Amino acid sequence: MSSIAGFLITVRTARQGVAMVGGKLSPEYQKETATLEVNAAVLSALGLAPGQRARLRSPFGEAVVTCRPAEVPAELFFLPLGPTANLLIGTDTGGTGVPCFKGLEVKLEPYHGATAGDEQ
Amino acid sequence: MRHFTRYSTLAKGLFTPRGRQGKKIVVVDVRLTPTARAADYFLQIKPGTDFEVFNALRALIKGLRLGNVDPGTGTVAGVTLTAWQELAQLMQSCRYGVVFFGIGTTMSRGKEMNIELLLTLIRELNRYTRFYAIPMRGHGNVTGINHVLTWQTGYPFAVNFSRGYPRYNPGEFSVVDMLGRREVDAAFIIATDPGAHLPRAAVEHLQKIPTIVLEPHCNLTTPWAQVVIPVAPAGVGAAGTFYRMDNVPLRVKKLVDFPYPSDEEVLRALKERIANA
Repeated sequence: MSSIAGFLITVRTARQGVAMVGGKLSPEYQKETATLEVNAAVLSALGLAPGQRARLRSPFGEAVVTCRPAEVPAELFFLPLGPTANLLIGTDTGGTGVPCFKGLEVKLEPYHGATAGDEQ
Repeated sequence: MRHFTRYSTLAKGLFTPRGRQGKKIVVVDVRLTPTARAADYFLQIKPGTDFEVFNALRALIKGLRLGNVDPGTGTVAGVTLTAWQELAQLMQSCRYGVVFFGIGTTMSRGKEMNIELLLTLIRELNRYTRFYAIPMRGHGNVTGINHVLTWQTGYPFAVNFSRGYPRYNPGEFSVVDMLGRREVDAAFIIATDPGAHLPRAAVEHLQKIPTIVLEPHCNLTTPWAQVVIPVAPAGVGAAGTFYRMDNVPLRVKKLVDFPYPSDEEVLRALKERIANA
């Protein structure tokens, strides 16, 4: 399967909270906020193994994430709120002041290219 | 975990001397979380069904029959009607109930209407018992700015002073909307990190305009802000007041001397400089 559609839900994780204490510029924070929790069967359907990278596309942008299998519904993808998730979120708030941080329609697909951090 | 141990699940109080044993914890969420694992009951609902759930609970608490749901096999939001009936009974019969709700309720489908309905549910529950709803705030002292703005202007957020008097309109004067429409031509950021929390287009606009940041730490805004003024963190290098998320103000002391001024000292100096310009 080349891609799977689903809904992105931004969350906070305990690992993110711990990494934040070390600083938001730390590799730990950057890594955790770019880690997507996905249903294990969805990962298999995409031909991805745990720890492999995938690309999320939304109507507002795209982001490369590392996949972590989790006990979550198949149609939901969970990504910590942070710089990676922000690449996918639009600025329309529907008059509420808050954009769509929960339930944004996205597509998940395998990613084999390089990212900005690879050269370092 | 601090909330669990000190304030909610495990905490012992005058009327809850047995701590966790004297409480029932119910978690309603779209996925199994560590909080759900620690609960007595976990109801896994379908995403975007908050409005449906609150409506169903209101009906069940009033003793009404849900017309389109089979009493034996029916479900609401992906959870059996029986489970909702048990929850409604539990909420009605408890001595003191609290609904802690997070951004999953406020930011998912229905948004502010979800909260309106939740608060209606809580109001109706108070006919039977004592019940509260408390929003779980994401960061320290978010409640504080809501309190101070409300006390000063009558409005909790998204307040515009451009006409010399406060005006309130989320969607028009809220930060994401104003940055998204590129209406802002200078930004003064105090004690928050838009580089980490705002959508990409909003951050890109901030990067193009003069952005001044008052911040004690390096974060995802300070590397590109035009001016960063380091300040002493409240409760460490400066005295101050935090508002706990149940709206209790807590005074914090200065613990150590810090090489930087407090937020208040910087703001006061800037105000005097502008007033005397």
